[in-house]
Amino acid sequence: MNSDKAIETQYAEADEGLIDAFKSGQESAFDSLVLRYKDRVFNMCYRMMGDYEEANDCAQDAFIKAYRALMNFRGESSFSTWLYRIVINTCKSRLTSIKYLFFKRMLSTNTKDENTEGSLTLGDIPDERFSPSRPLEKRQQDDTIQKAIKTLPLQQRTVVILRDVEGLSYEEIASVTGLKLGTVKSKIARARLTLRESLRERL
Amino acid sequence: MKDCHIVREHLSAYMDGNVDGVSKRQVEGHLSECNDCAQQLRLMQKLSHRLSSMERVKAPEDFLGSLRQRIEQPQRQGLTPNVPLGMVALAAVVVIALSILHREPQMRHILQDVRQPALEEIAPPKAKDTSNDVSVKAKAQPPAPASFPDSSKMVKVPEAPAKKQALIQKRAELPTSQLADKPVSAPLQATSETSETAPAAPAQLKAPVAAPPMEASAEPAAKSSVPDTVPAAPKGFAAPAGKLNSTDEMKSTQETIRHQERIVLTVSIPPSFAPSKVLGDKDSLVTKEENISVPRALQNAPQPAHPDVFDRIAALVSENGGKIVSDKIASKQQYIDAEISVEAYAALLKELLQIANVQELYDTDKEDIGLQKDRQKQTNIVQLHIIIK
Repeated sequence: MNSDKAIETQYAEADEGLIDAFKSGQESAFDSLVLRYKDRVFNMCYRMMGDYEEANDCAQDAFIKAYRALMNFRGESSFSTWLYRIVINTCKSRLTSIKYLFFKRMLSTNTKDENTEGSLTLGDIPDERFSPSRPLEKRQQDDTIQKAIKTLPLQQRTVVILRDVEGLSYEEIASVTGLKLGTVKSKIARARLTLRESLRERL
Repeated sequence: MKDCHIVREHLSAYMDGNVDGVSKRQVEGHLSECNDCAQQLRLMQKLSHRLSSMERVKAPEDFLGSLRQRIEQPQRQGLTPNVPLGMVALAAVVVIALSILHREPQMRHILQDVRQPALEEIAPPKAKDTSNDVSVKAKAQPPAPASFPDSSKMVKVPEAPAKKQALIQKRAELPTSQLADKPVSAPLQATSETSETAPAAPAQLKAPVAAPPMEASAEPAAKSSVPDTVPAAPKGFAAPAGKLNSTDEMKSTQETIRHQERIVLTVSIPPSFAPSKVLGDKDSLVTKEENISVPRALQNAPQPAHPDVFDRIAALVSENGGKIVSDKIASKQQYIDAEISVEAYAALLKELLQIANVQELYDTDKEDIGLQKDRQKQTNIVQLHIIIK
């Protein structure tokens, strides 16, 4: 644990150095920040949105917002927490937009029987772009889990992804989401119970 | 077992090491005794582990490049709403323009102006089927220079009743098929034609006002024109309907005659030649191919000209069958208005050419306020600038 803390500290110090460089006019410092965080941000967006293209749009939007707000970043929280906050808000905005809800409703008509036992619908086919070498069964299970995550309410989905997928602490989750610590605990517990019930026969 | 529901609320946080010391001991004590809760904990740990072991999706290779492109572009959120707004504004302008075009009388005049030449081209051929249209029938009449002013006077002027009676009678003789062809709103249209909304009527009504001295001279011609128009009218029209449609009949006749045969002349002397003593060095004739006797405002004749100029022009007009419709004040202001038939105008022009150099100018007279409502009648203005030889 101490080594992890040390790594995190080094990581945070490196972030601060890049932010200072960006504030002093080095545009390339932001590129370095993007390269350091793009996969984490992208994965978070994908788990929140459940769609690769949507995740790409959200990740880009989040970095653009970060780019425009970075000059005002005062370091009250770590850069990663600050960036996660932007990512979560971006995903929430998109998920609650009328446009997204409309297309989601249109697409959901074809995937109503997604929970039927043993049936492999078009939506169950995993995306080969991620890792062709990954075993097919594991990828299918990932996809099933992702669908179960998507059924969670937005706050539960956010906190359980931040906790179990991204590995953030409860305090960090509270900082990112703005929720109280007790609320974070209860929402994580409820989300896990829901997922466990929905994935009982699949895992 | 009684503590199961309490313990299970803390299992998630206990698994993550986020319970305080008292709760931790309570949960651990319960789990050592309760296999169901212990099983729940194992399932939850398995789920959490499985979630954390999900494959991490990576960003595309060109993520930074495309991000840089978007950063350097202006924000696209501001652009998207502008296009629909522009389209909406354009559509609104089109709708408003169309509504004005259809609702405003003066705008309708434009459309009628476009259609009017086609009507005039069709109309001149003599009507073979007299029961077809009143205007066609009127065109079959002989040229009646005086009939037009008379027709206009019959609408308003006191001396008109005799002629009006004749027209009503003529209308009563129309075949019933004509009545059937008329729209139901025909009487209303005839009524409105005499009001200010009617383009032709107002200008006609202005004639007596503009040239009161000339009304007396116009009356004989008017009376003489009535017999010319009446015989041409078809016969066999129901009497009760004839009274209602008589105004409509007059209107149609007036329009037809007006377009074909009448010319109004305005004679003036430009100010630069006004000081000349002998018959004016240069006169200008303004002719209007319309039965409008409204004097044109002549801005460029502030100084009095020799009265012989006007007397001479008036004499020529009278000799050629025309008549003067302007008053003496107009003469003092260096212009006179006269009405003359197209044929007589040609003769007049020939005589004028013998004594003066004539320059013909055609004008649509858009500035003439008195004629604006007649624009649908295709009021063509011909100006003749004359330099006395």
